[in-house]
Amino acid sequence: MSTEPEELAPTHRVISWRSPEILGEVILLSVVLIFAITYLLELPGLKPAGRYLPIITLIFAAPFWLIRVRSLFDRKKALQAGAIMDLGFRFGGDSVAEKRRAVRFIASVAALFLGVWVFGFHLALPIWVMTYLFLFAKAKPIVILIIGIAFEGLLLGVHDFIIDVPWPEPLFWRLIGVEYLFNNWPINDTF
Amino acid sequence: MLEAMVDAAQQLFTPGPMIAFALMIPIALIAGLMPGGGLPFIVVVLSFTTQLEPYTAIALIIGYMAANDLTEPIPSILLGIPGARSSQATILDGYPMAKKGQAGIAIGASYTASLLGGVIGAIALLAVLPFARELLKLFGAPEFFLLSLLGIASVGIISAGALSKGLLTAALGLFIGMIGFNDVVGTTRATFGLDYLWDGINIIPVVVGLFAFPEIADLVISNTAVAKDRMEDMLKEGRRDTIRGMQEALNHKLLILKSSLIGVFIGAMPGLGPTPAHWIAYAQARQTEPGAKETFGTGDIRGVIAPESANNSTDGGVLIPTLLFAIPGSAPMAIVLGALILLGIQPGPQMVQDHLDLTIAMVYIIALANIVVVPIVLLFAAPLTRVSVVPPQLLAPVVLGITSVSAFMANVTIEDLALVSVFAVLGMFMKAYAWPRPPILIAIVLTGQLEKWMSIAIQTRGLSMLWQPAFVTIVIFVAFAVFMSLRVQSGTERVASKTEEELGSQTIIGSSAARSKPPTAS
Repeated sequence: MSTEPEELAPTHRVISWRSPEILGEVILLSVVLIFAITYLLELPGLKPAGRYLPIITLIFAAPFWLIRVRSLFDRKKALQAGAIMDLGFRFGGDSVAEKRRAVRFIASVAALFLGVWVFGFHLALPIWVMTYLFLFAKAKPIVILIIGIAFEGLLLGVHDFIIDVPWPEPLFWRLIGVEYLFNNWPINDTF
Repeated sequence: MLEAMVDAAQQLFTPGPMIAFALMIPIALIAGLMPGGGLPFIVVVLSFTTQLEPYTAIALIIGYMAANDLTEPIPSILLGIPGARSSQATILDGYPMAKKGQAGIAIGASYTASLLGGVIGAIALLAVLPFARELLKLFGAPEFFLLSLLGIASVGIISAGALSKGLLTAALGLFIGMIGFNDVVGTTRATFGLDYLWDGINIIPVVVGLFAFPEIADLVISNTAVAKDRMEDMLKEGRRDTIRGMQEALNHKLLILKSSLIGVFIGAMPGLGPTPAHWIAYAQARQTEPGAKETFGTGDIRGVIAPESANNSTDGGVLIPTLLFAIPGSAPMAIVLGALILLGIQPGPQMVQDHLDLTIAMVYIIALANIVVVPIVLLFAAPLTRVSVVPPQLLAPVVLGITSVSAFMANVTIEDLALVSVFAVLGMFMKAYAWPRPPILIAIVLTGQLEKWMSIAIQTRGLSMLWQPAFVTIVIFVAFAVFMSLRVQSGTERVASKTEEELGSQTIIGSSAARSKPPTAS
């Protein structure tokens, strides 16, 4: 019997326990399990109408959860399983630089959200955008300034004056006991 | 039907929706051409739709989707970069044409094919509506419940290479969708003691975290930039001979019609979307057009016309399962479903019964977007192309900032950003390791109506619903559709691999090559 070279090509690979793929899947399966346990515990207290969908979902999810746990222990992953609706990440050759950029991206997003929580959007967002452009994009000062002003303009023009968003009090303003300035913007009353 | 068509036109072609549409077109074009695609910006559109009346919101969101798709051929032809997955086949002949100094002809032909394909897709959707309306009158609560459930399951099955991944993510989506207070149930579920979760999970932070952030991360991490000298040469070529390209396309009317019908048919199959459609149209043209086997891949204009006609006609096709059965064909369509729900309109079978005018308005918007946007793109191809080469590090903070504010607008609490973070981590993992993201979004969007129909069905018919003829018919129909979709999906990967292998190209669906950088210089 003749065997074509592609028939010998591996369809699966064994990956390390410490790989992000395995760790991520462990977390994902744990989240599903937490939901399953939560709904199971809540079932007795629910009216019949509220039980149907959790029960169907639990029955529906259980076999696939077990299949994934089994594949996790085998540490076998399908090679490039055809995710036809998704391109995946475009990893190139320089993995060190990519890792550095990934860490930088995650840290900067965390900094943005922390800044918004502590100081509010009006201060944190334009400053964060300008800092990012200065540190990582090496943009010209005039470009940085224009983009920063544009963001402040977006917040004041669209969100404050047109939509009149009731911003929650940021942590810093609560700590110093001052009402968040942008919730009582005088022009809001004018329009 | 005629009355609804007139009503839709009277409501849609008024200042409000038309101003919204006109304002959105440049945003959609620029966003579509940005590295990372137009998906992150859809959240911005979505966050505003809740403030608008339905016709204006539909003009914004459907117009955005249609206009966004029309940007895809530009980077494919001029720079050899797939603007999206559904423009990969266009590169095979479009880019060689550009290298031969025929970029303008390729662009002219591509947009003429896109325009005609888009209009054919819209007509197909309009033609299906009267039949679907009559068919759906036969359905009751059990059938609607079954359609919703099978819709979620079928997208889970189709959108993942591994069945278990797709269905498990669909189940996770249902678990998340059940969080919070439910009118049918009359109580809260799985709130984990958090007041924030009482109102359930708003889809805007989900879309931002699951889709927008991973796309921006991809942009930043891959840091793909294009060599400017090469771009300038191509832009000069792109301005010439577009009229000749349009005439060339009109000489291939039958090819456009055939490819467009392929696009409509594939688009109407649940969970597939435009990617398989454009590959199959390309392969079909290569097999059936005279002399194509020798000339395709070397810069044959028919190799641009076929995929672009099919690509754009799927816009109409994909709305058939999305609107009629609430089974979206792609992630953007799941977002359309979410937008409709935010507007208080339940997609699915009752859409054509209760909101036929709105459904027809979507057809008008698709056609209008094609008719309006194609001339704009043809006129401004060169400046628009420059958008696609904006350095990612410059673009990322701007997109991140805008999408973060949009996500925050969901409930205007800091918890919205915490929710974005959770879904962003999930989304990045799923994107990196080929877990399908659309089933989660679709399940969250459909959980409410699923539970409502199920409750009514069980109370009125009990278990006897399982052997009702309509119920059994739907099971058989969906099973057949899923089977066909899986066949098309695996066939597409074979066609793409085989075609590119024969043509010696590097952009193969699902291969490691597709995940590597496009031909660019950093």
